[in-house]
Amino acid sequence: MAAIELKDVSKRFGNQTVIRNLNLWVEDGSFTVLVGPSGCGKSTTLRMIAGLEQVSDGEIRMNGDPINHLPPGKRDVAMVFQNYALYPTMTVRENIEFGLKNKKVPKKERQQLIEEITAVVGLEAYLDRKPSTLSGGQRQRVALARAMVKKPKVFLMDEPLSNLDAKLRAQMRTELIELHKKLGTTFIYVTHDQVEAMSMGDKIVIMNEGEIQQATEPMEIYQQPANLFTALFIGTPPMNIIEKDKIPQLHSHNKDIVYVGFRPEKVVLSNEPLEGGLTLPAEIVNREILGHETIYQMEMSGIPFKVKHYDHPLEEGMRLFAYIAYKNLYFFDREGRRMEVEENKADLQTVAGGVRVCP
Amino acid sequence: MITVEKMLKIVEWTGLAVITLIFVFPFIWMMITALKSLPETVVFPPEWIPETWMWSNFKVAWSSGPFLRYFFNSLFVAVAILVLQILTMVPAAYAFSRYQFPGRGFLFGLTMAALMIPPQITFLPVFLQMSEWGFINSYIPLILPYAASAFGIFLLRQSFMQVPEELIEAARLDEASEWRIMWRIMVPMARPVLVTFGLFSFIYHWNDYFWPLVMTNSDAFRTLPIGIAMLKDAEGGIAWNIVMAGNMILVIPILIVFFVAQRQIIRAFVYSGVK
Ligand SMILES: Nc1ncnc2c1ncn2[C@@H]1O[C@H](COP(=O)(O)OP(=O)(O)OP(=O)(O)O)[C@@H](O)[C@H]1O
Ligand SMILES: [Mg+2]
Repeated sequence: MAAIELKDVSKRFGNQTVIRNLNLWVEDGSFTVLVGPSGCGKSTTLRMIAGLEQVSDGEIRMNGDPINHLPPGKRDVAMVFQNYALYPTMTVRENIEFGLKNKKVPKKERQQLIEEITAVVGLEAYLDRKPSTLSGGQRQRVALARAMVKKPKVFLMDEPLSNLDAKLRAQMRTELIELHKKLGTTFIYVTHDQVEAMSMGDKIVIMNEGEIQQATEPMEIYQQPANLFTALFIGTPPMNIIEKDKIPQLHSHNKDIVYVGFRPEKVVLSNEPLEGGLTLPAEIVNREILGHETIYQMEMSGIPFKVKHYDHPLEEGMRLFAYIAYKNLYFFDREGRRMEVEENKADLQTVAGGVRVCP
Repeated sequence: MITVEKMLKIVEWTGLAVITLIFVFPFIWMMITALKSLPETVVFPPEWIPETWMWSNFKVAWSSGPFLRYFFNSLFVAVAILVLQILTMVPAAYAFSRYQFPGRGFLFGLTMAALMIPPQITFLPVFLQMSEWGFINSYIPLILPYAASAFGIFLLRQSFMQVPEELIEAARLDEASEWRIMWRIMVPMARPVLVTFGLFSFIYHWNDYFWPLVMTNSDAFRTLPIGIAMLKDAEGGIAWNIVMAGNMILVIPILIVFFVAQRQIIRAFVYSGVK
């Protein structure tokens, strides 16, 4: 088990900077998820921890000791690749055994370890098969077994589930969470899927363009996004962001507020204006019925926003009031940084339907 | 009734049979001639079936010179060349396909240039060099100049380049040395290519006449093709039946190798590309 620390790490490919002054603390035993859009540098970060990529600047530490100079095999980490990277000419047993042989583990011990691990992942019946004769899910398990058998201090996984179908992916997700609990080892997991990130991680690191946007627990990310990027990244549909100037109902003396945001699932739709929050008169222009929920495309004098509801679907063309409680409003400055305006809530007043409403 | 499909099948099969015959005929003719008596080889029109099967021709050919020695020399030279070629081409192909190092492009270009130069151009300087070092009349000039094959390096590099980088990275994380990665990961994946190359190389050097002829001048190091060519020089005209028997001796080991490796070879051509 080990804690990993990245200190001022940068990575350049030629003259293109892919990672910029990254600082990250991965707690011992945590399930840390790196998430972000394609090309933001998640894989590169993971590969630098694995030693498959050299850092251009900065330092990577394991339990306080720098590991920059160590080759991948000496870092005590194991990696699960997106395409599994199983050795195609070796049987399942040989795949799992390869690392142990390289470590010169005696034969008896190797056999015992393989038995142990294959029982955990349920591969006993496939030990003498070649990977090409296995299903995607089984290959995934072989890849996991190959990583686990080395008893590494840190597991690195780069989108390990993205090649599986939806059902199997959900199942493997649960299995990975259980595996993490059982092993208690540090997991660093890369994905671009926010649902995977939210459901698996006990810490989420949101990245964009080589920089960390926010790193904290899943609920905190959802409830307290640090900036516009994280606010838009987590949640489906994403948070509604409207320029403050376009909401005449909202009066604030705080000149720094440029954008206002609210989550589609936090909107209350009603026939009459409600008090104690922001009330926007709007019309349902479109709806998307997904069975357990309905997503409404609404419009308020030309400004579109989305609302998500679990109730019985409402008709298109209805004119309603969209109500958002103050505590569910988010404010952002010109740079997109989130502003804490709790203390000046009194400042915020709304005018809805021509009636002045006091908070 | 004969359907169009059946007709097409018949045409196809006939075509294939004709082509096969064209390829196989010289071989069959060689076999038949090897079993004829001397007068039968020159009668006109030629006889298809010999009156008596002269198996003794093989014995005559074999004992007309130190053929056991030739046979051993051929085998030793061809196998030694192949082993050395594989030992040199695997690391070379691995380096060319996976490493970034200064001069890589230049060195690879040089290898490609070597591919285009036939032995008829290099034999003279090689011969002079070898005789200066006193190596003529040893196995060295037969084996050493072929110890690295530009063709093999090129072929294997192409095959190695198809191996996904992730596999090598996985092996590095598994603490495998570069040497182990080459022989345990890369080579097994390039097996069809290696088998094909091995066959070409073996057959080429087993049959090679020109190079051993130039580089040797004593029976101790001569190879089978030279021994067989010398059968022609027997006094009293060419005994074609004996010469053909000698050729059969030359060809049979190759046929055996081919039958043993047949499945591998077919796989090599069908299954190009690594999954
Ligand atoms: N070997 C390389 N040479 C040059 N540029 C590279 C190399 N590897 C990655 N990059 C660049 O670095 C950036 C980050 O790549 P990275 O693979 O880390 O993204 P990612 O976050 O994993 O994306 P994805 O979700 O698509 O896998 C990309 O712009 C990519 O083009
Ligand atoms: Mg990636």
